Amino acid sequence: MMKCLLAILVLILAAGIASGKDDDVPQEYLVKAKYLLNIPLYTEMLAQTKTRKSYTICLIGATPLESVLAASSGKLIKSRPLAVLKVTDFSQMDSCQLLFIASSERNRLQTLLPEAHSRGIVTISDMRDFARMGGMINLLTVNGRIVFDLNRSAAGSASISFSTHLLKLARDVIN
Amino acid sequence: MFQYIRIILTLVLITVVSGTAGAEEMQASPESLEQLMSLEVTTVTGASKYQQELTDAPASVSIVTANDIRKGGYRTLAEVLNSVRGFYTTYNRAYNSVGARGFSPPGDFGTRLLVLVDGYRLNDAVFEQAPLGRDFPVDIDLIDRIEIIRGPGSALYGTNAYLAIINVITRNGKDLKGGELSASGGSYDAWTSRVSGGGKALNGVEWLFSGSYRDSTGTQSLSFPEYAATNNGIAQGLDGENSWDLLAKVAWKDFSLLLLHQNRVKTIPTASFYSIFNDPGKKTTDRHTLAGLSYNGHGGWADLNARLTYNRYEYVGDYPLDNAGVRTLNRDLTVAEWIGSDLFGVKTFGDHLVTVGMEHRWQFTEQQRNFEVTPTSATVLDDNHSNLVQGYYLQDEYHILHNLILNAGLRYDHYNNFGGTTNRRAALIWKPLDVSVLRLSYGEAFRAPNAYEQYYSDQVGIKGSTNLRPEKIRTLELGWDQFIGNNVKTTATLYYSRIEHQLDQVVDPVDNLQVFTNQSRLETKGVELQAEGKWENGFSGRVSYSYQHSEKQDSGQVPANAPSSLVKASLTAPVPIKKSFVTVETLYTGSSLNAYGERIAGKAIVNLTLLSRELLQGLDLSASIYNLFDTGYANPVGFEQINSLSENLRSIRQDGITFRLKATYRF
Repeated sequence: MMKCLLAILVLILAAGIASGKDDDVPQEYLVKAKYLLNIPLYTEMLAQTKTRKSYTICLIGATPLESVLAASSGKLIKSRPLAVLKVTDFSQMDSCQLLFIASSERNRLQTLLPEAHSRGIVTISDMRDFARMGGMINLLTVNGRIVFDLNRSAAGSASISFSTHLLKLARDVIN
Repeated sequence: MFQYIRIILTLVLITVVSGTAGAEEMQASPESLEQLMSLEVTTVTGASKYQQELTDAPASVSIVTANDIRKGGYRTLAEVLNSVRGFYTTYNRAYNSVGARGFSPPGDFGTRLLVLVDGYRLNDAVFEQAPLGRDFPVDIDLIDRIEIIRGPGSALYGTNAYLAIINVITRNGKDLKGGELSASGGSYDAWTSRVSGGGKALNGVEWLFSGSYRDSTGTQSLSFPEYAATNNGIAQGLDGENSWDLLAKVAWKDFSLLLLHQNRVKTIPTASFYSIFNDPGKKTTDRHTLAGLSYNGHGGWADLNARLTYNRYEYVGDYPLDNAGVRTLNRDLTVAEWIGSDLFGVKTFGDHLVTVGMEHRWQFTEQQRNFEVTPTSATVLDDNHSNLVQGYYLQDEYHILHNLILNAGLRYDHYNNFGGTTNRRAALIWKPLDVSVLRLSYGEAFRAPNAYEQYYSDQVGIKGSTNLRPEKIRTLELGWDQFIGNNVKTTATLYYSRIEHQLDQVVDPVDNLQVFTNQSRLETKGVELQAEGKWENGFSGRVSYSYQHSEKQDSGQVPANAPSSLVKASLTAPVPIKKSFVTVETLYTGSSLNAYGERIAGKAIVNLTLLSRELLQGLDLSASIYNLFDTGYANPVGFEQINSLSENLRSIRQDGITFRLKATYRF
C-alpha cells in the first residue's frame, strides 16, 4: 500500500518537473508577472518619448518576479522588445517605463515614488495600501483572485493616463 | 486495491506523455486583463480575519474551490473535508462528524470545529454542533471556496476554534450573471434540485437568491447484527432524509446581507439512546435560520469591519421508548437563539499590521425540553438559560524582514457562567527562499462547556453538571511548504498537542447516570505530508499521508475513533471530450477503536467522477461512482448507541457502491 502511494507521489513530482517551467515560483507571481506585461497596453505615457528602442520593466526590492519576467524578455510590448532591469537606486531608473516596487521597499516608498513619477514612470506594487500611499497601481489579492486599485491623481502627476478599460476593471479608483 | 493503483498510474503516465502546454504569446486583446482577474491564486481570509497569501498565514491552510468540488463530485461538506489531508469523517446515520489530528470522540457533535459561512458562526448555542452533512444550511453548489485552517484559533475566534476552522465562502451574485438550474438523481432514490438566480443591477446592487430541495429514501435494509433479537437485526426503510434550504444574499457598496434557512429531517435506523429498534418513529429534525449584515470598509484611516447576526436553531428528536412494555414516544425539543456582533479594525503602522476587535454573543434562548408525546403527555425536562459571551482580541502581523513575519495575537473571552479565559497564538513565518516557507507556531484554544452538557437532564439516563471548566488545547507546530517548479507544492507539518480538562461523558457510579466531566490529559503527536500539483493542461493531483498518535495520560490508552494513519490520493485528468475531466480519488483510513476499546478495521475507498463542462451551451453534466469497489466497512461508535433492550452497537456499517448523475444548466 505505502509503496504504491510512494510511487504515485514520485510520479506526480516527476510529472510536475517534466511539464513545469524552469522558474520555481508560486502561481501568484506568475499572475502578477502577466499583469506587468499587460498593464502597459492600458496606459498612455505622455511624458516619455516614443523613440526608445525597448520597453523596460524595472524591479526594485526583493521579489521573485525577476526570474519570471526574464523568460518573457524580447517579447514585443507596444512594438518594442521587452527588457527587464533590476534596479537598486534612482540613478538607474532613467531607462524604466514601468517600475515594480517590492514590499521590502515600503520604508523608502515616500522617496522612491516622487523620483519615479518625476521621470514619468508607471509605478506598480503588491504591497498593502500602495495606492493609498501614492502609488499608481496596487495589485491586491481578493477572494482568491488578483485584482487592482488605481490612483488616478498619482498617474496624473506623472502625465500618465489609464485607459477606460483599465479604469472600468479596477476594484477601486482613487481620484 | 492494485486495480485502481494501476488506473491512477496509467492516468499519470498518459498525462506526462501527452506533454506540456506550449509557450503562450502575450496577447494585447482587451479580454486578457479579465482573464488575469479570473485566475485563481491561493489566499485565505479566515486565518487572520483579513485576506492574505497562503504563505503569510499563521496556520497550515487548505483551500477547496468550487471547481475542486465539482470535479470531485462531493455532495456534502463532510465529503469535502474527508478529502483534505489529516481529516476523517464518521457517519452514524443521523449526523456526520469530522475528526482531525487524532481527535473525534464517537457520539461527539463536532464541537471542536468552528464552522463559518461568510464569516458568520454556524455552531449553535446549545450543542455547539458543527453542521457538516446535509444539515449544513448552504447548498454545496453555492460554495465558492472553503478555507480549512488547522490548529487552535481561539486567539481570534473564541470557543470551538479548537482543532480547525472551516470557513465557507459563498458565491456572489455577479458570478452567476443569470439563472441556474441543477438536478441530480442517484442510488437510494436520492434526488436533489436547485434553482438559483443572481446578478448585478445597474445601481450597483448585487443579488443572489437560491432554493434547494433534497430527498432520499436511504438504504432500504440496514443490518445491525448486535440487535439480532429484534427483526433479525434489520432496520427496514428507516434511512430516509429530506431537506430544503433557502439562501438570499444582497450586497451594495461595502454592505452585505445574508439570509439562510434550512429544514432537514432524518429518520434514524440505529436505535440510539435506549430507543426501540426498527421503529419508524425515531427521527431528528434540524432547523437553522441565520440573518447576517456585514460592513467591510476599505477606504479611510483603517479597514473597518462589522458583522451583526441573528440565529435561530431548533432541534426536534423523537425517541420511541419501551416503558415497561408500553411504547412511549419521547421528544427532545431544543431551541437556541442568539444575536451576535463582531467589530474589528485593521491598520498598518510601518511594518506592523494590527487588528483590534471585539465580539459579543447574547445567547438569549438556550431552551431544552424533553417530554412524552404518547400515550400520555408528561414533561421530563423544561430548562432555559441564557449566556452572554464577550471576546476582546488583538493581533499583530509584524514584518520583521521582507521574508520574516511574526504573527502574534491573543483574545480574552468572558462567559457569565464560568468566567474568563485567555488564549494566545504566535507564528513565525520565514521564507528563506522564494520557493520555501517555514512556519513555527504555538496556539491555544478552548471549548466552553455548552448548555447541553451543563443542563440537559432526564434523570433516567443523563444528568447535567454545572461545575464544568472549559477544555483547553495547546499545539506546537512546525510547517514547511516547498514549491517545486511552477506547478508542484509539497507540504510537511509536524505537531504536538496537549488537551487538558477534556469534556467527556462518563457514568456516575453513585446514580448510574451519564454525566459530562472534565477528564485528564490527552496528548497527540502527528505528522502530515502532502504533494500537490496543478497544470495548465487541466491535469492535477494530490497525495497526502497523515500519521497521528493520541494517548490518554492517565491510562496510556489510545482514544476511540482516532485512526493512526490516513492516506489520500486524488488525480484529475482531462479526457478527450471538450472541457471534460475524470477524477479518481482514493481515501484510506486506518483502523481505530470504538468506545469499548474494540478495533474496527480500516478501509480504502475509491470514488470516481466524470465532469463535462459546457457540453452544450450552459450545460454541465457529471457522473459519479462512490465506493467504486463496493468495499464493506463500518465506523466506530460510542456508548450512546444502545437500544431499548440495552444492547450496544459496536460499529455502524456504511454504504457500498452508489452513483449519482447531475446536470446543471446556466441561462
